[in-house]
Amino acid sequence: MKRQQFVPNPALVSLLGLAPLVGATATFADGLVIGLLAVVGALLGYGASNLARRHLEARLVVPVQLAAIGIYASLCLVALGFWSSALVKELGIYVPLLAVNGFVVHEARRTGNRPVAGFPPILATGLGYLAVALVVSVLREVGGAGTISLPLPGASPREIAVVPFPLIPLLRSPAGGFLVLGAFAAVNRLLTPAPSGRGVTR
Amino acid sequence: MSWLAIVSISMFSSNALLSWGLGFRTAFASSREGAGMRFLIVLLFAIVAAAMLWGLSTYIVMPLGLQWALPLAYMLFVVPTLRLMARGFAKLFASTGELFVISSDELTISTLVFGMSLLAVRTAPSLPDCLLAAASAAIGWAAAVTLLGAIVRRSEAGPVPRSMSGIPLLLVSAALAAMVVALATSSLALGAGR
Repeated sequence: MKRQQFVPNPALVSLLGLAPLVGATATFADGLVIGLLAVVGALLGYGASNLARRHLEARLVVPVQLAAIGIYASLCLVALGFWSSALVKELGIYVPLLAVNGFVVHEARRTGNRPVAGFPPILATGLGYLAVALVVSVLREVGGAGTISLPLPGASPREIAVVPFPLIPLLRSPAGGFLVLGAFAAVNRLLTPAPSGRGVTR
Repeated sequence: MSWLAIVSISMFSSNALLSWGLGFRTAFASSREGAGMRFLIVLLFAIVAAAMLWGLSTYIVMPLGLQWALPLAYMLFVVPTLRLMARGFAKLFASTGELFVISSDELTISTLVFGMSLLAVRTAPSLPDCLLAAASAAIGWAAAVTLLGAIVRRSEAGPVPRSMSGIPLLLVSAALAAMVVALATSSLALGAGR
């Protein structure tokens, strides 16, 4: 796949789905779960929208799309509840918010003449989103707590000690989320070719 | 919980933008035109959504043990109501109708309104408290947006490297603002505890 499909990340370029990346990436387990759920939600939302477009009247497409994403978010809550109650507690409002996650809704609204052809670009964008969630969550947890949490089933995620003490405890707070995401966005900007005719701002 | 505690939690220590990261796109990815109108819609939608979510949660979802169905209930009942409201207001205020529809269409399905109403329902057990929490959250969000906007504008007045301009600068500014708010609220809590 082309590099361009990964680099214009939805969160870092369009601020889509930014909230979970700030609030739900304090641990690796949280980042992995919320990133995966968002990617799967985007793919399922797009699939449901296309099915609705092909088989239903135009005025019913949006309600079906919204209901499909709502059902998905509700099912995520059920599934996560069975998997690990600690994860549901840690992710807090961000699992219900999958129903209105900017990235999920934006991708679900994509249109095209060939519906199947829409899946690979959504998957590529989703992998970019997931990659940001993973990198941010690893940096925050290792730097902020010195551990890596794995989203294993049970009452609490399994934590593996990586460094003996937390280097920057601030990284576990929302401010740490903004800081790491800001640094990541700056690196992303450096790696992205500059638009012609634009250099340093002022 | 006292009304003062609800206001201070919703506006400061649990600020929608700085503590939860909600509403960045609403605030900073749209044009600055109609920012006041957008805030009024956020306030109105947050109050209505919180009231409806409180009703759904108190009378249907919790008694039946269907907490998992809250997102679906929001999409099936609250979003259509907000859309109807937006259309109604657009007809009522014909001069600003188009702007209203554009802003409200974007806001009906946004993490900001749903997030603030979810937080309000969790913070406050009674309906009046819930409405107060939702209104405070919307005001706190608008204050944080104004503060961040001012920080970013002043910072961009200087020489900013291309890698830091725009979203990176916005996020780093948000980190600094979040630190200041967290420090101020914890100092106030310590002071109150003494």
